[in-house]
Amino acid sequence: MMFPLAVDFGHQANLVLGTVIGVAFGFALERGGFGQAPILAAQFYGSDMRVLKVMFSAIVTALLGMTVLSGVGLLDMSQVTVPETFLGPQIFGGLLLGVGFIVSGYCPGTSWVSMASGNWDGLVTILGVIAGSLVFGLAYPLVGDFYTSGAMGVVRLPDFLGVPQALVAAAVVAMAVGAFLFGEWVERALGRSRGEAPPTSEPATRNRVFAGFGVVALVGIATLALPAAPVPVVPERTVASMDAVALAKALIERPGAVQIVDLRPTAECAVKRIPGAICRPADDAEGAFLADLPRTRMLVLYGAGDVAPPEGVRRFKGDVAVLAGGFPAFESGILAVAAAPADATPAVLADWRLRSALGAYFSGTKVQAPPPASVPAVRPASPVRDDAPVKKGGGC
Amino acid sequence: MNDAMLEIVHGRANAQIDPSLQVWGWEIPVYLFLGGLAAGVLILPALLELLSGKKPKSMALRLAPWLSAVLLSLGMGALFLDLSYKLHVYRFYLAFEATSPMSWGSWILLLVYPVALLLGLGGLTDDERQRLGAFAGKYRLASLVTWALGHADALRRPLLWAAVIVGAGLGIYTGILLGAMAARPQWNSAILGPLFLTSGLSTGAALLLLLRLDEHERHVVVRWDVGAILAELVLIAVLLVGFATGDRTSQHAFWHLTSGPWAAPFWSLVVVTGLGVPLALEAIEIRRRLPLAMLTPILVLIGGLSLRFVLMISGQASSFREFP
Amino acid sequence: MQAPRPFWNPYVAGVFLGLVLLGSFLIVGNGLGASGAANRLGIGAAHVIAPQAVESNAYFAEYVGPGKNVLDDWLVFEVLGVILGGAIGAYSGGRMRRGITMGKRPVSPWTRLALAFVGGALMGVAARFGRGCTSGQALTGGSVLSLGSWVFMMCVFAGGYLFAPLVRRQWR
Repeated sequence: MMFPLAVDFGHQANLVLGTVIGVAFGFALERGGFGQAPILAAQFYGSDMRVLKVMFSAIVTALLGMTVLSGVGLLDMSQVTVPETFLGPQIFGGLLLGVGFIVSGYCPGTSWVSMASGNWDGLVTILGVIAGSLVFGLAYPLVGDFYTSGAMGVVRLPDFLGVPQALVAAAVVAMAVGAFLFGEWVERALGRSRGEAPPTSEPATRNRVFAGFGVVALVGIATLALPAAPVPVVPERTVASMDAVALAKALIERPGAVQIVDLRPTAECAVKRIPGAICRPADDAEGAFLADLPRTRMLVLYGAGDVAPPEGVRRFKGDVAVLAGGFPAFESGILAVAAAPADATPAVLADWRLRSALGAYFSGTKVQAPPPASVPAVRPASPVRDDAPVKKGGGC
Repeated sequence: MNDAMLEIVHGRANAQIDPSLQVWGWEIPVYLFLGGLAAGVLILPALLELLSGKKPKSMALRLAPWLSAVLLSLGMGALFLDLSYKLHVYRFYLAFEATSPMSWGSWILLLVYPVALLLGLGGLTDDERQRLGAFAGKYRLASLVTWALGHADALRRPLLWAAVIVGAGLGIYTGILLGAMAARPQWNSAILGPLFLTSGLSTGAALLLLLRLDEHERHVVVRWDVGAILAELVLIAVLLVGFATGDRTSQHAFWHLTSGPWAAPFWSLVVVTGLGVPLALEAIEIRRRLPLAMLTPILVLIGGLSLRFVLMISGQASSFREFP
Repeated sequence: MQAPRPFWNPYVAGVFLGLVLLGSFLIVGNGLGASGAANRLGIGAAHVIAPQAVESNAYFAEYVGPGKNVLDDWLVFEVLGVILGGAIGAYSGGRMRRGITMGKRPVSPWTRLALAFVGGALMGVAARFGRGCTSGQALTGGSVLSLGSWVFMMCVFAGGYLFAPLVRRQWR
């Protein structure tokens, strides 16, 4: 198994996972005390360093987890989304967000939690965030240049500093623990001078957490000694070619394992297509719709003849094949099989029998009788059941 | 029915339906939601009274039958907006078609009103009855009110049973109404009837929880809601298993709800927001004896409405045409 | 009524939050966020009210338009979960009640709400420039060691500490 797993899920499954992960995120924020503005604001007056402690413990935990997992080759860091760096706008945005934080008492994430706990100020903060986002959009013509300035792409500290990730992670742990101890000292010192009790904290729990960080950081460094994993060769997305008989067999034997897409214009596709095929949406020549298709089913594309697959296929994660000869090949080869020639060799006849049987499956007609040895077959090929009688459906 | 109509209603793949995918708008899901809600609000207080043998104390539960009638009227208003030939609505009642759920439904809708009216009257306190009598007296209707009150009291038990039966019929009907449309494989499941009935019961309980209930009543209604939510989860599981093990059209319906374009709204809004989280909150309430959070019933109502919308929209996109 | 349960030890809460974040990275490949959902909700609402004006804006046009659903996004579904998870946490902790949180020296409720709105609006603008907020940028980007995220995070703390004396009356 290789992380991240999402590579194998569809967009919709990711959204559902997002909801579930969000529940855990919201619960963690609430239990951390982040649903109440005074606790968050106390960070900036030195009386309770909860924001620093929770946030840096979280960063360190996730960072160490990823460092160790990628160190032993279980996590592919190149598949993890890393925010891009825009130095100027992010300095400005950070300073402004800090000001907004202390004025409202929340950051955007915690305001959702605060609202969920029933606080009106949380709800109003969210309305403010929404209004601010819209103001930004309206002012975009004026600030767009600054917004896009300083683009550096994805820059990660290990690459920027030229130091392995495990060492950077260890440095972050040392820095975080230092900041925690400094923060607790500030809490005590200010508490004394103000005559307030500093927030209570279980020293044993704290020490265990710190020790855990240290041990995992050392494990991360130890993974540097492992032989470098061979760079995985990403196979070029090859598009196989599939003939009509193979497709028909696959459709019958593994109906759930094939996803067929008709690339012809919608008007033609709507009239007649391979059973089970879906029509490509109009004006989507690049194939953006492919992103919504399940990756677990083999994707088979076909057009009005031999066609090149759309661009989007390169990004499709599952198996892809193109039907050789396109729809005409399937129609003449399977759906409406012409009568076998009278002078067929046994090999041709066997092939004809197979195709005729497959066609019968799809059209719901009787299999054609093989031609008598001497008399030419006169029976016309069965038409596709377009004029099938109206079936009385069960419903009630 | 003429031939064209016959084809639309019973044909599994036909040109009138499949190229034009979405023909029903917001009105139908809202109607189905309000209809289920009305059924739940009618059934729950009646069942509680039948089981305990005592009339409910709180005004909300005593007058719940009237609330049910109001909800049903709102729902029928939404349905009426959807009708193309609004003046022809009376024709529903000129005929009875024993095999048509629509026909059954139209008549059940009519039965709800007298039952709800009398049940609500019977729930009035003496004080309220006097005021009602005085009010009716102004319009010389006092004798009518006395007559109705007399019957409401005399027939209390039969009326309660009638409320349960008519309410169950209403709740089931809102589900199988969709199943009557043969061209939509996703609706051709007998589970939809019980599913919409249990959803109606849980949303009905949720609506009652938003009103002012007596402390004991509230505990009982919360437990009912937990039961209805659990039953609904089981029915959704059965529905999905039925689709997954069915023929290719059913499997397509399964795909629609598990990884198709409506999977995220279905799982996130219906299952997590509307069922899972309220269930968790109610379990916490029962175990920790906390005051009920108003959020819980609101989530249940959101979930019930989403269930109708998701099944409705994704169902209209499911089709036999892809499987000739 | 029971007294609210105490909050978790901050380091324990942090480790739990970090495990959630790690799980998000391992399962779906990206981290957490919050302001993006507010942005999309706002654009969606604006699009309902004034579709033409929104679609003609260069920035909004990224989100709305033919074939695009502004709410069809991971962050929107994640924030739905955040609300639900926050509600479960607050309810089971005995902290769910309607009200307004105040500092040590209470100000008038309207002052508090006005400040909340203004602060929120500043953060709304800031989160666009920063490409995220404390969740999406500082927490998530910080844990994958993004240079911009660390700069952003330091600036958030700097901005907060620099401005805190000016709004001291609200909190202390």
